[in-house]
Amino acid sequence: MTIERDLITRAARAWAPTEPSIEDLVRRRDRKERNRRLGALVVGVAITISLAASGIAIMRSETVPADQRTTPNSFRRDGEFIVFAPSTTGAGWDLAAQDPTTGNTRTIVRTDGLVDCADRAACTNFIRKAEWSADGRWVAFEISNASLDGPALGPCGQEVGIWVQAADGEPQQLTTPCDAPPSRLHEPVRELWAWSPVDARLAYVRIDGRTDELRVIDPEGTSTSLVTGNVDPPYPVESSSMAWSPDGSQIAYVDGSSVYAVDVNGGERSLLADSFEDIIDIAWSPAGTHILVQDQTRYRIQVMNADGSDLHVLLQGEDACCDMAWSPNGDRILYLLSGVDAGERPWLKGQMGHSEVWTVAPDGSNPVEIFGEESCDDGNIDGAPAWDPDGSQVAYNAPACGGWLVENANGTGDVRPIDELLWRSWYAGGLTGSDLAAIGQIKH
Amino acid sequence: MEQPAEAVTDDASLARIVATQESFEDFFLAHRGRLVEALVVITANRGEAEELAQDAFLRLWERWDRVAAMDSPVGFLYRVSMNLYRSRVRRAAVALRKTVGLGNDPDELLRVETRDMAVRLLSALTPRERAALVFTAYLGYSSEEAGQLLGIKATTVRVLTARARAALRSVTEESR
Repeated sequence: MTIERDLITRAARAWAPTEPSIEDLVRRRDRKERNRRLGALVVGVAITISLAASGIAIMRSETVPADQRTTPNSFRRDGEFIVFAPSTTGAGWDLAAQDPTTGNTRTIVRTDGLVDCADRAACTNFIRKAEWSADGRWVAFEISNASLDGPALGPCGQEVGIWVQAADGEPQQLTTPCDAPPSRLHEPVRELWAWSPVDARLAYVRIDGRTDELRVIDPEGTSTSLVTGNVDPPYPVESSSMAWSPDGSQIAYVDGSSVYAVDVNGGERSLLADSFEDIIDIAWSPAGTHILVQDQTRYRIQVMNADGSDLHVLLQGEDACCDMAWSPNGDRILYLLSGVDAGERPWLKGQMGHSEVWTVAPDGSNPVEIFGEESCDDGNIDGAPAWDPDGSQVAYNAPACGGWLVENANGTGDVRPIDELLWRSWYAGGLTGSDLAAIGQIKH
Repeated sequence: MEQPAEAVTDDASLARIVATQESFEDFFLAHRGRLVEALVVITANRGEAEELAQDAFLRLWERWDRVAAMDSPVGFLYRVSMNLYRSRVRRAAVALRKTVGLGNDPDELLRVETRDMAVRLLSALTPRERAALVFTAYLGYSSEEAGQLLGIKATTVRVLTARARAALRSVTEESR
């Protein structure tokens, strides 16, 4: 890091830009004020048109019938996603469920006594992840004292670990990583977890430097060890380095440069493929027939059969980026391209570059550009494309091109604005990085 | 809502405005050098970096009473700068396509000051990679913070930073 900082400092000073003076700013302000008066009318008309278009799009958004919104014994109401809400009883942030149609929120987990905050901007621990179980009866959340990219915020206390709560219950703690003595590397225990896609069981990886293991945990407290000592997800731990098969019968996980699968009812693990270098994402296809692997260091997105056979490169090159997602029926893969091919677009050489949203068949055929230069001149999106539930549309956020937009997945038709709440309900049911940023929990 | 200057009559309000102005000047003097340095590396264009820095500071000055109350006015400064940069890139791309051959080469870094090793190394990176590296290694932001400021996901920042480091290693090895 120091070498890179020195490198940048040297380059900046070799370039020797002139620092602006306050007099420069005054002159610029006066000039801008003159221009602003002339342009005020034009801007007003543009804003009016934009707001009208957005309003029409929101009115056209699909709504969920009221009689389908709550099922018995369900904690999650249809389509709700998890957000933070100011605690009404403590100084921190509670977990709330937000309705994608109305935007209304309701508190689901009260954190007073669980998180330790002097005020909402100064917590020594925080909830870094929260997800609904597949059956909607539980919410699991992880309390951590580790900042997402820096030193610990506070001591490793008893509240740190993974918790679950049912609709009418109190939070129950499933793991207590702070009970462990320091590892041989003096690193904190790392935890990784994911709900089963079919029931209320958690896949759980614990990396403590001694008895690293993969377990399946039931919210009621039953725990089954599946793999011991041969679990090595990338650092820092990302939940996308472990994935349940869609039928909930197997778990694929990363061990170094290899991908393994293990049956959740026990048995030996099986090696699927070991020709990777730095795996940052694995994902089963919805039918469970294929597994997608993103190798960051080799700039490759690859697909293989669920047994590890027929491993082939779907996309290779520095543009191969991120945010991969299978379509709901598994016939397409959504991905983000990040960067600029100066050979094809020389006018963009040296510029900030474009992000593009594409879909492609799992065998690499028939790529379709959803969003790119033809859609908008400033193709920088914030990297969050998402499928709609029936797989016919893709939504994403292009801040400089109209904000939240949706297009047909086959590339036909026009770009349309979409309500951010609806996009969010498509994208994820749990907390996102934006939620953490919004309450300042990543500013440490 | 902000009050127009004419409506301010009491001494306390006047004193607050004077204090706010002084506060902005302190902020400006403290951060102008680092912002311009960061922008010149990202844009690879001295003139553009200077223009962007002035525009960004002016945006903050116009809203300084609200910006000063933010948790991180410096973060907001960088976010505004990057938003302005993206807007300029968009306009430049459109203009260049309409007037092929008439635009300025946007990447002076590739042909100027190539005698400097640091400049030469950084010229091997794309602007997005340079931005990710500047925000994390030079300005010290976390991936999450850099993602917020750059308008991209933290995972994308990490991917771009990793690519930047790999490219720097590659260029270094080639030059040996």
